[in-house]
Parts: sequence; structure tokens; C-alpha cells
Amino acid sequence: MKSIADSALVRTIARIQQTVVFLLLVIIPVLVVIQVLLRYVLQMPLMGIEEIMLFPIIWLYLLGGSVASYERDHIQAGILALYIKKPRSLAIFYFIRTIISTVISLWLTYWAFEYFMYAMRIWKLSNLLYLPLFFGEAAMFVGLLLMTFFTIVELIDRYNAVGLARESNS
Amino acid sequence: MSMLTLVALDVAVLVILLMLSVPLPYCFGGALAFMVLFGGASMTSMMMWAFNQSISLVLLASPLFILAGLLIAKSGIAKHLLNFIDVFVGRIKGGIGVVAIVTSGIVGAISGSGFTGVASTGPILIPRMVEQGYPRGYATALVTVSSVLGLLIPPSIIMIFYGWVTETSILAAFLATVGPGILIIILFSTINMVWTRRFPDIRLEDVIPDRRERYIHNAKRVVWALPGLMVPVIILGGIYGGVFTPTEAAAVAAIVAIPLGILLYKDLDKRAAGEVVRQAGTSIGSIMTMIIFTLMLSQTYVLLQVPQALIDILFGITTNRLVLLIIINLFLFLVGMIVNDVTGMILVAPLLLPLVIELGISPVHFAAIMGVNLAMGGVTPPYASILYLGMKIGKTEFHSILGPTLMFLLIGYLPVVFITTFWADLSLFLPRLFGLA
Repeated sequence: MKSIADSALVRTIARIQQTVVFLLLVIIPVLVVIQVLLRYVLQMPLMGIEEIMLFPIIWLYLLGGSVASYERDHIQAGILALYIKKPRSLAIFYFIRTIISTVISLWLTYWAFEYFMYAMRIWKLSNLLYLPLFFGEAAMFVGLLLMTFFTIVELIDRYNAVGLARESNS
Repeated sequence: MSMLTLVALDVAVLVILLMLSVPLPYCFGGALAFMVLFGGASMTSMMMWAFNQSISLVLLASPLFILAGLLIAKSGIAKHLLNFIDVFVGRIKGGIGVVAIVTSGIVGAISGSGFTGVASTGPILIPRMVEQGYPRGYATALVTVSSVLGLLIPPSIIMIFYGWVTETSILAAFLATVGPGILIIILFSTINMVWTRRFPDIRLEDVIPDRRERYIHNAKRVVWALPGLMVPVIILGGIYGGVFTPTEAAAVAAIVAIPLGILLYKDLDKRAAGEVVRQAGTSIGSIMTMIIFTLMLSQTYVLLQVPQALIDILFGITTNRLVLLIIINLFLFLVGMIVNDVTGMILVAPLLLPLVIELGISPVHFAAIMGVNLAMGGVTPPYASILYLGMKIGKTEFHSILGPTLMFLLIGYLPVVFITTFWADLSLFLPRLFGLA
């Protein structure tokens, strides 16, 4: 059975965020090094670069987290799975685990949404350049929303895997 | 429900989620949900607090060192460092083990993490050691436990987190683990030299018979290693010379690794560099989301005054400093076994710091105590990420690596944990020398 993660929609969303994360990860160290060069070589530090940086930083973290959810590459510490030998039991185990992840992710996304609405209402500005912090704060909600989306995609795959394991048993 | 019962239940929730292999960000998110639902913590203010913490430029050092570490692992720098150290000790029986240990220390001085050591030296050294007659399990264990040095030799990612969450000088925290790190290098090297005598089949690489050719061969190795050796000099010199902040040093390390890998050592091409950056994005996202939720959870504990309650409980049991320090070490050891080093640091440092200050221990000394304990967590199951990576790279089974790993930990590492705890000067000598403690 084809995984839902391979569908065009899921892959397109994933590809877009992978590209954004890639670009952010190139931009951030370059900006940091430029600041060092400006300060020590040209003796003219660029004021406010730290404030500009907060936007790519927070988007990198949250979109990166979402990419990790898509790639199912989040760190796990469990050892129980090592002791489950039957494929069907293992499929059920992963299904239950993903249900728990989904519930927690939904709960976190709800609060991130509350924060998103709060940030939009308050519309805080940064201290030096008066940049609207909302565009950074929004990353919390967007990132968690995408993480939840990919966790639900995984949940569907895990559910299908349980069905497949049952069929192969019978 | 009393606050302590609530925290105990929350820790139980966390452990259950960890055991169930729930991804780490959700484990901490779940424990946070429990505290919000039953402890009355405000989630909106937590979100706001987490956002303000996450955009810190100090914290940015961590993802940048992850990027630098991954680039360095693929750049070929490690290979030339290995060849360089091999010039000095390669002709001694057991010398290749020393090469592994010292290289891990130097790689640690570039990357700040334990993974880079095993990822960069493992694929080269383990096959070379097996070829020379070392048992695969021993070779893998040696390379794996040595890579823990990456967390102790500055710059160190966990020390960045320690300094950040406890508001201690990061530069002082970096220096605090140098003494324990050097002691580990000495002890591991000694154990390796003694243990190697048990392997009768070890054969050294053939010597180049002609002396002039041999000198040229060795000189070439030294010259090739020089650019790689300059990287830690630039990073540490820059940090302690006041030129860079640790974040800037991490960015410089990442940027420098690319031309070194592509133009000089040629182990990296543009496509591979792109793939490394892509991988780094996933790793950073996975780690940073976990850190954001860990931060929130840690903050709920602080708001509920758990640190003060811990002090009261422990002082209620005993006021003996020695016993309390042993309890703290055992606790940190257990934390290291359950969660990874960074999360352990963020979660536990703010809880324990008030207690150790009551015991008369300086925050800089405590940085070293936490550092050596949590770094060991990377190679102690069940959460032993560095050990598992080592097993994968060394193509070996758990039962083959377990014996030698335990031997290095019990004879080589554990004594350093206790020496670090009870002999403050080992950690404080360098920070004092630099006027930081």
C-alpha cells in the first residue's frame, strides 16, 4: 500500500519547508560571520543585526522540527520496541505511540494558536528597529501546526500498517 | 495534591512517554501538559517565555555547532588529524587507540558535540584497528567512549546550555571541563595501552624501510593536518581572545569547514555539502523543538519552587556534604541514562543549582560536575545515543561492545566523575587562571 506521506500534497508541503530550512541554515551563519567581519575587519558593526536574526532563528527551529516530523526523525529514547518481536504487536505499539504523539501535538498546537492570536492582538515591536515581532512569534503556531499535520500523516500510515500486519497474519 | 506528588507524577508521565518511544519533543510536551492541567501553570505565558528564550543568540551557538560538527565529520579533517597523531604514537603497540582518544579530544575542540567524534573518526579508525588485530567490539567501544570528550573539551554544547540556563559565564563553564577532559584522555590512554597486551594478534603497519622516505611521508602527514589543527586554534583563540562569542565561533567553524572539505581535503563536494546542510536542518529542528518544550517544563518546575522543595527534602535526609554530593552524582547519572545530555542539562541545572550553592559549591565547579555526569549519559543505556551510533558505525552488536565500554567507564571515567566532584581545583584551576572564577 502506498504511504500517505508519498502523496503529492504532503510531499509538496515537505519540499517547501525543506527548502526554507535549507536557506535559513545558509543565511544564519553567513549573517553571523558578516557581523564578525564588519566588527573586526571594517570596524563598523551593523546595528540591529541581532534583531533581524531572531526571525530566521525561530523559523529555523520550528520548521526544522516540522521537517523532522515529516522525516520521522525526531529523537526517541524508548527501548520497549526492541523487545516486541511480533510484527503485528509492533505495528500496534507504534500506532498507540503515534496516537499519544498526535494528542500531545494537538494540545500544543491549540496553545500555540492562542499565543498566535495574542501576538496578533498585542503586535509587539522590537526595541531597536521596531520590527513587528508577530512575524517571529507566528513561527510557534505554524511550526507546531505542520508538526501536527505530519504526525497525523504518520498516524494514518501506522493505522494502515496495523491492518497490513493483520492481513499477513491471517 | 501536594506539589511534590504532582512533580513525582509528572516525572512518571515523562518516563512512561520516553519508554513508549514517543518522540522527545512530545515527551516533554506531554509532561508539560500534565503540569498545566494539574499544576495550574499558564500555557500562554509559557509560550511567550519560550519564544523569548528561543531567539537568544547564545542559544544559537548550539545549532551552529551541530551544523559545524556535521560538516567537519564529512570534510576529511578527522582523517588528517588521525594521520598526524599516528606519526607520533602509531609505531607503539596500542598506539592507534591513543590516536583515537586524542583525535576525539581535538575534534571536540572544533565541534562541541560527542556525535562528531564518533561520526568522523569511527568510519576510518574502527576498520583500521580491526585490520591491525583489535577485536571489533573493543575498537568500537574505544572510539565511542572517547568521543564523549567532545562534550568536555571546549567549546561544548552542553556547557553553552549550562551557562545559559544558570546565567553562569559560558567561557568559565567551557574551561571547567578541560581538567576532567585531560584526565580522561590520560586514563583512557593508559587503560588502552595496558588492555592491548591482552590481544596477541595485533600487528603494526609496515614501516617504510628507507629513512628519508619515512621522514617525507611523516612530514606530509604533518603538513596536511596543519589547516585542520588551525580550526580549534581559531575557534578557541577567537573565543578566549575576545574576538568571537561562542555563537560566532560556531558560525566561523561551519563556514571554514566547507572550503577545507571541498577545496583542500576534497572529501566534500558541493552536492555532499548541500546534503549535510539538509541533514543538519532536520537534526537542528528535532533538537531545538525538544529544547523549547524542555525549557517550558523546566520553567514550570522553577515557578512551582521545586528547587527549594528539593533542598528541603535533601537537607531533611542529611546535611552531610559528602553524602549529598554522592546523591547528586547518582541522580545526574540516572538523568543521563534516561534523557540526552542537553535536555538533562536544561531540566536539571536550574533545579540543582540552588542546592549546590547551599552546599558551598561554585556554579563553575558545578558546571564540571554536571558536564562529566551528563556526558557519560551518551554511552550509558537505555538512552545511549552516542553508543548506538558507534555500534552502527562499527557494525557491531551490543553484547560485543558492552564489556569494553563498561571497562572504560568503570576504570577510566567513573574515577574522573568523583575526582571532579570532590577536587574542585581540577575544574577551577583554568577558570581562575583566566580570571573567570
